[in-house]
Amino acid sequence: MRFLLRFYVAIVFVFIFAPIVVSFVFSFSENRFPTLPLTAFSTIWYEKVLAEPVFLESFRRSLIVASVTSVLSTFIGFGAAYMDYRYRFFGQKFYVAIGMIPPMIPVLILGVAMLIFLSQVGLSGGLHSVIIAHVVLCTPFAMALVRLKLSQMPDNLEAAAWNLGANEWRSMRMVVVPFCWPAILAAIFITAAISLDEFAIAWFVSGLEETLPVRVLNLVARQSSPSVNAIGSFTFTLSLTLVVLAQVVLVANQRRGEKKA
Amino acid sequence: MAKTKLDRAGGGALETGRASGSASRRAFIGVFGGPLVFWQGLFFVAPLIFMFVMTFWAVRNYQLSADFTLANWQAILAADYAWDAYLRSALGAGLAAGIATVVAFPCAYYLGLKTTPRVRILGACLIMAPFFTSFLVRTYTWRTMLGDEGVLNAMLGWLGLGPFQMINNLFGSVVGYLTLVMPLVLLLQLFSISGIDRRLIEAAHNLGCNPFQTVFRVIIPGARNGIVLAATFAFVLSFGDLISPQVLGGSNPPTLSILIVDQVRGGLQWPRASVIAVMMVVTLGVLVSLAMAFVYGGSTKRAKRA
Amino acid sequence: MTKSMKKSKLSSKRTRRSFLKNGIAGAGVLALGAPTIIRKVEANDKVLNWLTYSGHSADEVIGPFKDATGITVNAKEYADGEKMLALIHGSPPGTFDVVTSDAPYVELLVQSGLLQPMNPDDYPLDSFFEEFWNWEQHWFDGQLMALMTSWGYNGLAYNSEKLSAEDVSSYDIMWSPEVKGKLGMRDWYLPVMGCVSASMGHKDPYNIDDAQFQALKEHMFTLKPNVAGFWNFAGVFDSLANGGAYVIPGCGDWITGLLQRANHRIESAVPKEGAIMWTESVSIIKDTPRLDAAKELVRYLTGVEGQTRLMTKSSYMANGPSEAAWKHLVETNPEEAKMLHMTSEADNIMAVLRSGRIIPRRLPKNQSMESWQEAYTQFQNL
Repeated sequence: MRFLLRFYVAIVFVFIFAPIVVSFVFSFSENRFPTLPLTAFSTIWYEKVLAEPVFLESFRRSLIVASVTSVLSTFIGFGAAYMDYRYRFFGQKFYVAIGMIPPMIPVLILGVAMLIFLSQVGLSGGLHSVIIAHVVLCTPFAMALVRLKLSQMPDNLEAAAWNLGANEWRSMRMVVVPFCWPAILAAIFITAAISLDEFAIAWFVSGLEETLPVRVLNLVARQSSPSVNAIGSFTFTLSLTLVVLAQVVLVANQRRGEKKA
Repeated sequence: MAKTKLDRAGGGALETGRASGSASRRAFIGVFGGPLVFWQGLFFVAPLIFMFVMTFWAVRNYQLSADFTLANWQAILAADYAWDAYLRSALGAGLAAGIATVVAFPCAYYLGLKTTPRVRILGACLIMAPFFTSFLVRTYTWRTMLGDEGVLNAMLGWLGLGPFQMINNLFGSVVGYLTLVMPLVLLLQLFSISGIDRRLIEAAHNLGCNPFQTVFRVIIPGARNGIVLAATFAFVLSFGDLISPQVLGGSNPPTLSILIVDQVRGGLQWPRASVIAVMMVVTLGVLVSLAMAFVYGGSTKRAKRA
Repeated sequence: MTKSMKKSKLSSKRTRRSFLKNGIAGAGVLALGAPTIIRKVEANDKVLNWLTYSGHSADEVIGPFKDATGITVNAKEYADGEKMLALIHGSPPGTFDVVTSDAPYVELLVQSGLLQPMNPDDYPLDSFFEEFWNWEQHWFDGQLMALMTSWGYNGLAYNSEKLSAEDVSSYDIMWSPEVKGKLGMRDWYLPVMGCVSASMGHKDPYNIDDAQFQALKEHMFTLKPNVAGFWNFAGVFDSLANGGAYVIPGCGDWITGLLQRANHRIESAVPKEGAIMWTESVSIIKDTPRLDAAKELVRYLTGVEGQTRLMTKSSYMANGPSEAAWKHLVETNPEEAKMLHMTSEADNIMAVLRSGRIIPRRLPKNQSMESWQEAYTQFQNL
């Protein structure tokens, strides 16, 4: 039974990783248009990517946007989720709605609407514009993750803190944040990932400050260039490295937690 | 916000903590509740209103001009293909949400309950890793893999099967949607399953439930929130996704997100495209509020009863 | 009086803007600790902002220009003309200095008053083929608003292992049972419907009356059983390379040349009913503060070096209007010249153009763009 389950889990992971692995393989194929059977091994696509300074520059921009976006949207999403969880107030539905609607809007329309609005207020055409739009788009994900975690929080946990005389700030620090920590971490990762992969809105609002996914879009959509396989493999390797690092940190944390318990 | 009357949900026990000054409390609410109002109010509400207003605008000489006309609504609502696309998008997104939910559950169950914390964290990290490879790249790679002479058909050919048509149709689109939503669904499910109180599971076990009964009587109800939310997110993301139906579905036939692109391509009809966008937002908004009411409405009631 | 009022209004607006801007930047700085988020592009003559199609800003195209002039080119690349129009309308004035667009869009840009008239004497027009000197889609009220940088044809792209040159000498092949499930379509209505219109014998495919348009729709709908899918560029490349399609209308050497480079046996043909021409033109944005640099770039793109590089760029190949560049390419790179049908033989691409079998692409004349698009959507929806 357990073996079957493990086998099943393996299959699901194969589905998730298949396109990544195959694109990794194609990134080393000389052929401009990936076909079977694979022809000669080549690192030409990596060389091409590295030869264009635009690539590293756009990657740097994306990292800035993603890190600012993830921190801001996770904080906003966390606060909003807590408000929705803890309080009942007038206009709550509306409050939650403006937090949740952005991902429901088709990106092409959101992109144009954002461009027109931001240029009206003089904020279009730079990385700050991308950050503004990405925080709008990413906050709902952070909010949903934290809200889900909060719904699992035992009611008596916060009550106990209050009974011990803690005010909102203290119980937030001592009880709520530690309880939600895994969700907060996940929210930071997921919002960063969404930002790192968002090109449709970024294309409109970024002006001349092209981010990495916009670069990838240009390489894929019109040129069908295998350089994107190289870029994809590069970012994936990087993220795997981060996974390993996170793994080390989390396991260390867990050990400490277990000792405390 | 500041004027609204705030009541804590939950029992009277929580009220005792209210001793702290109301100024401090107002600041607390401002710091945690304010940013959403500030950010979305400043940067999102205006574009959202603009999208809606634009549906009444006209296009003259290929340029947007302010107007008040119902022509865009009439054009879209009267078009057979728009409703076909609407149903098609809903079908694709529904399939994606359903399949992702069912397929991910055993996985989340295994990672959440049947393995060591170490493996669980590794699993969670691995689930997040694909997020960092461009979805565009993954989709185009699927296209090459699923094509008439692609990797998969070649492999099936060795088994004497096929070739099957796996792109330029609904199957291809759904593969794309699943690629998009699977990691998120898995993660949300894993989250809620690993949050279930283990004592409940032990109790079920002690009461003589077999593993299947435990799953259906304890785990699924316990993880209900996460499962429903994950499915909702899967539907929302698939419903609006342009890449999958375009690259893997071959726009054959088109979905709503493709119609939006085509409205813009044909005569720069941003207003008509916005009409479709509003249709989509309304649909998804209703769906999400139903899901949220189902999930959190229920839990509040339970909390009150307790 | 009014002027000063206007001015003060403007400046107060600017204060608010900069306040908002600083607020955001502040938030960013707080979150990241990075010193600068917003980097201002300096308004000097060594920087140029160019809005252009994907692939044009690569060093393989404009590297020599950057080296020779020391001008930094900030490019914004796009894939769809409509998104380009939305971007240029939505961006603050002065965002871009030079724009490359499809010839029919030049007209729309001129209507919006976004372009600056050009002086033909500033550019190497005399090295162009005579046909391109006075290109009708570039002149408005006697003023030159754009210069052609590339062109090509959209006829039939086909897999030469599956179909013969004889097969694709007419659009009729699209209806043949031979290509059932292997007929590809572009996802853009304009070139495809132009081809179908040409296949019905319309010499001016975009200038048809309503009855002819109705017939065009019905004729197109009968193609549906053969259609495999509707694709963007990447989809077209992949389908031709991987056997997903044997024939695709609305394509030409600019697509198949790349496949031939990668040793795929994919070719293009101009059917006897004629093919649709596409063009790309470069224009200067009105009131650009960097006029000299902009002129410099246009000169480069229309000169021999720029033209040759545009023809053979790795993103997509193209024919060019420059006779001098054509000759240069035939001498230096005869293989690529052959892929583009730019040879010195009698049936070269200029001869086909002169014979009238390559018809300039236009916007629909007697019907709205919307009704053409709607017909195409109905076709997709069948």
